[in-house]
Amino acid sequence: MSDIIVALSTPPGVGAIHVIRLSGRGSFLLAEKVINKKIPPHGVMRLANIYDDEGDIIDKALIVAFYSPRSYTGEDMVEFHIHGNPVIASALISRLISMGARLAEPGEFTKRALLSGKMSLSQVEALHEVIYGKNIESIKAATRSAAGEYEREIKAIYDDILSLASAMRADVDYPEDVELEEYGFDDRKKQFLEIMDDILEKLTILYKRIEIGQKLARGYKIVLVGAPNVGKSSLLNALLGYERAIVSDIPGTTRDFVEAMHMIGHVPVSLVDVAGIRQTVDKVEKIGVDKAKQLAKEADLLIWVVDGSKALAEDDLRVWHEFGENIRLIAVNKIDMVNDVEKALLQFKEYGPPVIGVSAKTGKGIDELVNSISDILGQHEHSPLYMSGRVMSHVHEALQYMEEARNLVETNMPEIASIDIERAARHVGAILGRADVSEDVLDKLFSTFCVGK
Amino acid sequence: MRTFDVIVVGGGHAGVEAAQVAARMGMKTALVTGFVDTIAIPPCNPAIGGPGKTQLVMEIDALGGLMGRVTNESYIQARVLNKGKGPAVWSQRAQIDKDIYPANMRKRLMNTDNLEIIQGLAVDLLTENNRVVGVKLEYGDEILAKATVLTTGTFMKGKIYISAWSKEAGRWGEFPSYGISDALKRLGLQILRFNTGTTPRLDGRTIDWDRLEIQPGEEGITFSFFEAPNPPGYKPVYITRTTKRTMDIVRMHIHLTASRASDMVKIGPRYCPSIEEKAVWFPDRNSHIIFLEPVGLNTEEIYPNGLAISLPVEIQELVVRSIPGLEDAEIVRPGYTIDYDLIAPHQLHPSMKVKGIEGLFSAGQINGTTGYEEAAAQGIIAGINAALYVRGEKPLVLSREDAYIGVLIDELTTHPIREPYRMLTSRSEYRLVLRQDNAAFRLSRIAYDLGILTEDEYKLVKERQELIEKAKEKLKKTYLNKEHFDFLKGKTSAYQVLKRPEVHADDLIEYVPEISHLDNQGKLTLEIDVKYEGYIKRDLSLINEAKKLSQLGIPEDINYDEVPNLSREGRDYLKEFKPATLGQASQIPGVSSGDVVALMLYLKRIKGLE
Repeated sequence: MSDIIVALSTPPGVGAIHVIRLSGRGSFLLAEKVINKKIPPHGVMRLANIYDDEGDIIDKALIVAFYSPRSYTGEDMVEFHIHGNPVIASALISRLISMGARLAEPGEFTKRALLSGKMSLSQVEALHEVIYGKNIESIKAATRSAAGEYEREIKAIYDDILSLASAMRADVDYPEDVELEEYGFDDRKKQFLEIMDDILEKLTILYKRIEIGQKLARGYKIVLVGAPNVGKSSLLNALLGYERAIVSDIPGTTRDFVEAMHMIGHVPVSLVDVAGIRQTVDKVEKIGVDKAKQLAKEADLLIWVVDGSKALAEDDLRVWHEFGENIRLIAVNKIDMVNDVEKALLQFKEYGPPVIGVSAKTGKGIDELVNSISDILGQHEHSPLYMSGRVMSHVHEALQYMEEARNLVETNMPEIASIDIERAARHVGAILGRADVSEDVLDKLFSTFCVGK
Repeated sequence: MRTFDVIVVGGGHAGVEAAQVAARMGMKTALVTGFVDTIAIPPCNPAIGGPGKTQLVMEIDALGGLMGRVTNESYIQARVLNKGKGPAVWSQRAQIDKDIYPANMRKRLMNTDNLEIIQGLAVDLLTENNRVVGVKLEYGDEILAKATVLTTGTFMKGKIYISAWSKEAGRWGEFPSYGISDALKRLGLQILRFNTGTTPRLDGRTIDWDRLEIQPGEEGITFSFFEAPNPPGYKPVYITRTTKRTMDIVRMHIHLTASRASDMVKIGPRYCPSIEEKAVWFPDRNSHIIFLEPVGLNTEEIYPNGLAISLPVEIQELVVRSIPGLEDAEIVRPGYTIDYDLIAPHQLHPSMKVKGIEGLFSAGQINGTTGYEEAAAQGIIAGINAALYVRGEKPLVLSREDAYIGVLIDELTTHPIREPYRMLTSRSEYRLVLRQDNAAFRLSRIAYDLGILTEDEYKLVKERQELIEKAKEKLKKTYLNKEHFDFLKGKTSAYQVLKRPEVHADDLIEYVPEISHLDNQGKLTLEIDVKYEGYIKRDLSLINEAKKLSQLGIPEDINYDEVPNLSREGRDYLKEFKPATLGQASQIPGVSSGDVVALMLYLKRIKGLE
């Protein structure tokens, strides 16, 4: 990895400035030849002339140097902030290449950061989200992740698991020491359980935070449920601001679900309109209804849509019966057809969730509905954390092994619990890019316990 | 000039296994040793087994090795450790008689066909290009062989130390060997240097035994599947502890410990820290357990396990006498430490053959391990593979999923070594499957096929396995109820009843007489198989997955430039070595485990597995 790489780090074309980055051992030497003077101290930006190989000035630029390991890649690095002319940029890059640098492959700076240990794989993944993320909340979450905040958190959990794993290992491999020194399993079972509960809680919160981050990146799933023909599809379209679902007067038209990504306030959502729920003999519709039930289960927000212009029908009540506990908003549609709105809404108040009168047709009340959705989904029990699916599945696996291990400790089977704890450690270690988790456990063991003869 | 098929250089625990097994595989074998009297002596503590190590002993035994059989006829105290926990992690350990063990081993070697013992220190390797063709002895003779196995332990440029004093020695009282590590360097191998230490030996007649806690032995403990235990006598172990005064003396004189007072290399095993290291690493602890182990039936010497030390002898005396029961103890042999050359083990193929050099194998402490069992485990594999090499056959490679021996060799050959390597139970994540009680069932077939175990010996293995299966079947078909056991509510199979932690195989003999056909080891296997069934099944499926993964094929036309997240070094090596499977890729030095993961993810993706 000793070669020097160079690349234009800003989008190509004409602009105010271009930034050219140079990284690798020996970058400073190359840069000094180009500016014909000493490199400035670490992190200090200086004005410098850029010379071509004939000694002519081709640009007046700002130059900043980052000294290894305090740079993005961890190597010696130089940034040239030149004027935004592609001709100057290519002249400078060519000059640097003629002196021994080579053009960087896409993502190579980040790869070097990864390999030099400046960034972990998860930080790189988070960074990708910062650069390519599509909504501001998820970018904020990703920035937090890229900055390594979560890394400290996961490290702390990893450390706890290592402590536990090493204590259990001492128990398996140094039975004479631990029995006689009274730090064997029997003496410490209660303590083990407490530590495990603590780790489980931390892992659970971590999992939830990642889940929120994932939802912010992918959008919350809002599902509209209701009896046929209460206007769910029209409401969906009103929320989306364009015709999305097939709307018709014939009950049961929306046989399949319709999903669309959208922003509600700062909250990204995917809205799902599902088939109307009713007693049905139609086979095709039956499948749709089953699917609706499944979707409603996965929903982050379930909205019950009712027709305010009519009295509650049996199909409406069936919906409430089926989904009632999970419904968090009631949208009373078609209030444009109602004279006394207050009265129309009143009959739904007793069900519990906030009731909002809307008209998909005229747009009345849609703002209020949007605000309510935004309020409900905008509140997180935990702050979001953007992590890749890879990280999430490691956390999930770790949680499962820890839970299993806890049961095994509870039922006095530490010899098996220790295996599960180490498997949990392997998964958490994988997030941190630890290559040899077993060795980490041993390090912990020998630094904590005085065992062995 | 004499010619052999296989030469084994060194008569320690690795060497004897390598030589015996090669000879049993029909190789004309020479065991070259500096001094015949010291073949298979235990230069450190007189004990075999313990967690992680007993599994190795039983696996060596299962492969037709000698360590377990000789332990059975040489131990003077044995017990089962970890009895407080489930039977899957029970671990037995024996105190062996330091004179009887080597004598019994020598007797067996001398009765092995095709095996010749030659006294003479090897001082050089005979090479032709990159092929080792034999060894040169100190008195000038040269012996030739198709395969040479180096098992020289701590002898390569060994140097012993007590404080600032040092002396060149392979072990105390024995000449070191000089030419071998230079010959290895000449062949382009990387040589490292480690250190290890041992305790003083005390005169048992000067110990106040009455004040000490006794640790009695248990009867019937066996270290071999094939031969019953036959201990020559009995002496118990006693326990005492260091005091604050002990540790104060050590701390006060810490500057005089060999690592500080001399220029010795200080890379020792964390697994058995010296008393000086305990004093420094755990400044708040003063009470450390010391096991007073009998060294033999024909000597009064006592090995105070836990007291490895390299302070000046007069300080060693002060340290010893500050310990309860040892106030008047006399030191017979002082404790000392030794440093020695070793082969950086990543240069070995998992067959124990040295990579890139023809005809050369190495095993034991020379490869950076510590412990008799670790040495013997490598020895038997090196011996088998030296023989297979001579025959021109594919080497035997045990994987992590097959055996503790596989774990040992895998970690040795693929992980960078930081210190002397010791086996621990917890190094295997498949420890419920790789147990001491089922080693023969896992591995004996291999030894039988190779011609190491006899027909009769292998029959024993199969018979017991069948008896266990029969007992399991009968357990499933036998139903018990409240009349048999108070805790039963309805009709329950005896199999389910045996799953309960408090029920043992013996409790069910009345209802399932097939159990009585099993010996204690068989009953133990039966119990573990039944009690841990669910967990064992889970591990077996993980093992299958891991095996499948390591067998994951790499397409010949793979473009490594397209594999994301590979390191540059890893990419270059992969391009050069062109491994056929992920397992092979993981064995290439320079290909990190991160590279293997990156490659695995890529392979899975292109194969549509994920």
